[in-house]
Amino acid sequence: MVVRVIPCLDVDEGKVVKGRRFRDLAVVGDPVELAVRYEAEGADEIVFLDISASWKGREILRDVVRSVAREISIPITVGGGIRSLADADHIFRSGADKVSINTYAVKNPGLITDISRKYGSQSTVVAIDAKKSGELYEVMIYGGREPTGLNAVEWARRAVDLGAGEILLTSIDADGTRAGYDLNLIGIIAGSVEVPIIASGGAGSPEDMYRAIAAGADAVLAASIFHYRRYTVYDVKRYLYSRSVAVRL
Amino acid sequence: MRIAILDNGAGNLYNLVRYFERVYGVSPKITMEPRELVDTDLLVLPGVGNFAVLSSIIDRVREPIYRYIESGGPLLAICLGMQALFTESEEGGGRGLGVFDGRVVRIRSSGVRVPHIGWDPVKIVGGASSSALGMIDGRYFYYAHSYYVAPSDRSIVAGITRYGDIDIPAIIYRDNIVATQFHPERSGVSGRIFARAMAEIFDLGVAPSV
Repeated sequence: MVVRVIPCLDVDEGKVVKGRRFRDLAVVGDPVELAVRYEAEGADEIVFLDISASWKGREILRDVVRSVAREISIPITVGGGIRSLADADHIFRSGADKVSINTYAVKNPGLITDISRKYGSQSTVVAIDAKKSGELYEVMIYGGREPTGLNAVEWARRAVDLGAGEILLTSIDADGTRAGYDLNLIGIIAGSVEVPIIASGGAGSPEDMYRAIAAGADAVLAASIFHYRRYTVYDVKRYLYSRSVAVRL
Repeated sequence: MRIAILDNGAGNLYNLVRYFERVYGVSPKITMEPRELVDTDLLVLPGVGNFAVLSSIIDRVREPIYRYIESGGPLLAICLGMQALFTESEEGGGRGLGVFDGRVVRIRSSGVRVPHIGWDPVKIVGGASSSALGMIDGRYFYYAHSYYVAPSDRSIVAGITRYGDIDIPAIIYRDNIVATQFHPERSGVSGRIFARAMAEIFDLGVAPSV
């Protein structure tokens, strides 16, 4: 299996931003410029997460997706604030290859089935934000602010049963820390479902990404280390290759 | 040059349209009009959703598509579109075009994920090596699927990709039909080289830059 390296762009009102632990947002760049740069560096896919709080922000995101889709020819996944099949329709029409649903998948699990029936499970990503709670992991929604009482393992299994074709797994504890992914979380979820797992939250170095893959991730996602040019996507892939991980170089 | 894309009704064909604009400088027509589907220089059969959805769409334009194929018109079928060239799928629901014999089966292999999502190298096999498809040998393409085709006649398989312990037919090529399990329109530079191979195979009269 060839592992994917995926830059993630958090978009707020049309600008790429970066926060720490879902807070303290700072503008880091223009979505089209960054996407074009990442494609050139060898990104296997690009994820856009809309974190705009407003409807206007959502509309801007569609324009952003369209502008990016016009310029790049690698897959685009778009998530954030998708509440209904109609919302997903808009995003696909703008040029997304996959949509990622999170909060509203928890609130209305039937949405997973609706999207996967129409577009296929391979285009239906369920994003899970997990927070360590004792020995278990709890699913959080609304950008990590609201606990759900759901066990992340059970929710991942249910989401796949309902039609999810991929799990975008973010550790809220690790997110923004650059201290490494939560390897335990990755291992548990990867061992519980058949679909690919995209590991997210905590990447600080190529070695962190290697560890996530060793723990069971099929793809590794990161934001700030790429945005701030600490490493290029190519650096990461070269490193993974040197550790005998199959990558597209 | 004219390109017609069968309208899958899902409205997610922007990237495919953009691909042809980019590689051939041509804006394809997305259509369900029998006349437009037949009167073209390249007919494209895209994928969407699942086998049942696509077969119900095909049901409405079955005859024109057969006519087009029989008249020797170039056909490119992508992903689920490739699967629809067969009669039936394990995914269930409806009839495909039955252009090729064989089945569409679910990926069953230990140690790999389903769906198969990501980039894998294609290996051009058999007589196709000496065709224009030789130029994409070893290149990486993007896949996103849970089912794959298992043709009765293996000689139509022009390219394979290894996934787990399965040699997934990545390209089928016979006469005026080329079908891919991968998405050339999402495969970066490889997709543009693939477009060049298509132009040569189908004699499209365009020389796309890479």
